[in-house]
Amino acid sequence: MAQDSQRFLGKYREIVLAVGFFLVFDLAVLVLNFYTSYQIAEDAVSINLAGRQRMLSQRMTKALLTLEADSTQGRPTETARAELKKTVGLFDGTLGGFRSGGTAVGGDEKPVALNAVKTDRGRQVLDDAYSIWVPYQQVLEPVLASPAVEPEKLAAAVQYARANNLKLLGLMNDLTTDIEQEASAKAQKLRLVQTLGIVLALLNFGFILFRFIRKLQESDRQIEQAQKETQEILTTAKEGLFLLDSQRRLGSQFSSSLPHVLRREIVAGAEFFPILQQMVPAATFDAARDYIDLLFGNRVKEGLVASLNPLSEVEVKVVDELGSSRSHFLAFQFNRVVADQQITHLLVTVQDVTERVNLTAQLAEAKGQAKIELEILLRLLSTDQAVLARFLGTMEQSLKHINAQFKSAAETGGEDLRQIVNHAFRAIHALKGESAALGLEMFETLAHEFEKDLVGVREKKVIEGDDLVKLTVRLNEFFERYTMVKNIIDRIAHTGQTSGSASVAAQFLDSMRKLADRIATSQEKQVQLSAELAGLDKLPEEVSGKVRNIAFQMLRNAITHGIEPPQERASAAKPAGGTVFIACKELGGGQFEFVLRDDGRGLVPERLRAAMVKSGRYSEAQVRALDDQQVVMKIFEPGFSTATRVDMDAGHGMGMDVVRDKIRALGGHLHLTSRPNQFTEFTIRFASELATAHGVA
Amino acid sequence: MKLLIVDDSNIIRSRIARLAGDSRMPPCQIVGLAKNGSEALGLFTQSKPDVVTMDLTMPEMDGIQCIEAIVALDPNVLILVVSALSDKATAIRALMKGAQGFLYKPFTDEQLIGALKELVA
Repeated sequence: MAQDSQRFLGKYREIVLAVGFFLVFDLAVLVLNFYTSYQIAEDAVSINLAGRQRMLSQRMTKALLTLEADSTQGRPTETARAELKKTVGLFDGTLGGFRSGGTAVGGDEKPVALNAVKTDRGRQVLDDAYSIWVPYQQVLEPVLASPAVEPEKLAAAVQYARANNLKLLGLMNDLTTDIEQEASAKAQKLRLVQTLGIVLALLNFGFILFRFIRKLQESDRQIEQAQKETQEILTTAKEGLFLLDSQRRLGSQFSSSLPHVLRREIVAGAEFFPILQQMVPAATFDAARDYIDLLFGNRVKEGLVASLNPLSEVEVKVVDELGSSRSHFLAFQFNRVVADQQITHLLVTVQDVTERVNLTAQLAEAKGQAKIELEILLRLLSTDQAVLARFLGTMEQSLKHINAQFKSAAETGGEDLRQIVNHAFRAIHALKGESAALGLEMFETLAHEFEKDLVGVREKKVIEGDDLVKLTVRLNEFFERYTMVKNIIDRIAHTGQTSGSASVAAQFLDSMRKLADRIATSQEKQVQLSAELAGLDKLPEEVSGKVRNIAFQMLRNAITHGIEPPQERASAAKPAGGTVFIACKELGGGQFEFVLRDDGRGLVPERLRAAMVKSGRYSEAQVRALDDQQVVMKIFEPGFSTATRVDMDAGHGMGMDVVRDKIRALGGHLHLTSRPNQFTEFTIRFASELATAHGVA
Repeated sequence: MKLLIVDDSNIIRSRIARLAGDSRMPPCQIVGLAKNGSEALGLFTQSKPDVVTMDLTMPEMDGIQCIEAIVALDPNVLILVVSALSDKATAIRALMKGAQGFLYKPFTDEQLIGALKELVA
């Protein structure tokens, strides 16, 4: 409180002082006025009485002469004596009053105060008057004392009166003049003092006015300067700046860049929430509204809630004139504006942080890329180099083959594009399977993406040349990664790293286990792999490679389509974990047998029929016309799938047709047995020497 | 000040308790450690703390309900929400029930001390 008043005085001190002086001057003039007018009143009494003395001096002489005349003619003298006595008393009293102050009898017979004459001239006149009056009084005394006047004494008094009458009159006249002059001097002094006081008061008033106007001008200039600076800030700031009042309305001023940052027109005083509502998702809007309410309330600590600002980085979608939607990122910052301990406004700062967000995303992507490369390196180092070299060889061949087909199709345009796409799909799908088996995720993901694109093209009614161009982009990507990996392999090879000594069968089993684990985990299933693979080590590398290839694909299918999720198995009174058994046996006479058996749901013709109808490739009637055996054989057709979702391991309707092609290439025979809800078993018989004959049974 | 620590994690409770004795903290007396909202409410009524650190996701009675109940008992109590919650809207709701501040888990020693100091400032 004291501080407030001090601050108030500090600002207006000069004006308060000036007004104080003004009042003091006025009061002084007023007091002086009172005092002087009182004095003037006194002076008027003095002048009046001095004037009366002139008259009394003459009346005294007249009364004396009348007394003398009455006395000589024998008339009664009482009246004249009484008159003389009264006049003498009045004259003497008044003269005494003039000399030493006191009271005298006024014109109305009442006593009045009389001041002693103080001027030198006045004192001199009085002295002169007394020198005449004292002897005058002495000669008058016997005349006034006795009614029987002695003629000599009366004659002496008359003679004195005649001699001094005019002198006394002249002196009383001088006294009057002196008192008048004194009063006039006083009046002049009063005028001077009044004038001075008024001049001072006027000067003071002028000073006040001057200071006040100066102050006003100064504060106007400061306000103008502040407005100018505010305006400069608002026009140059890159950020959107505005004040939000407690009614959640925008202030009268905002930065010029605000409409640009918000990508919309902004009107001063507009309501903020409807603007925000158009920009952000409903949930974000609700949270933002609550957050702003919190800041306007005085319960929360501003610094302790900033981390909860729902608009600290928010994606905003804007539809441009062409109707296309673009998104950008805005960062809103809210700061309380406090005046007199009340939160009056929030200062809102809005920045377009799209660039920063994009940069962060790019950095994250670059980090991801670096991580992939590191993974590749680690994976390659832990993979058998001979196996890897074979895999890369196959990949190179496949990619080159696809490339050649795409190229010739683009040049001649005569070939069946659908067939080329189907072929490419099978090749890429096979590569995906092998990548997965080797744990080479960088190829598996890439193949999966390629596969998705191929499916997209395959599902079109008419495939055009342009579609192949798009696929070529994917193919190039594949080539690039292939080349990168190949280079790394070559470098590793140069450093002299050699493969381990594990047998083909052991390495293969290890790969199969990894694949089974990965697929099972991703599908939330439990799978155990058991194997008898002694026969594999007895096969020539070329044949063994093909068999392993088939095995990967079949394992993938068995887990995806055969093994049920744990709950389904539980309700069918089966153990939660499924089992896949693989075996490769030498039958003798150069004949071998590969078996893959899962204890899953088996091939159920009705379910297959439903899937066929659902795929849209067969009508209800067509499906009904097929017997169970024929239906089961459909799983070997391109595009067949019972999977309910598309992921890395299933759902593209491709798999068993690849297996069929590979069995053909091996010159093998496939035998299939299955019992609903119990098992599915594939048996492939083949010769250790590659034969030309092939078939599926 | 009297401090009540509410968190279902024993680790967080003991960490806040340890930091409450830090020399950088204003003089502080721990009046209770609660592992859920209903336990916190009991301790609050008994010990009448000035400051409460409050987790949000807890069994039995969650943080938001607990804040509401505590503020109804003592509108002047200072509550710092300490939560790993990534959903800002829920955290804001907790503040609307009457908490004054929010601190994300995980936090550093300096962050917690700074937040408690600002809370009582």
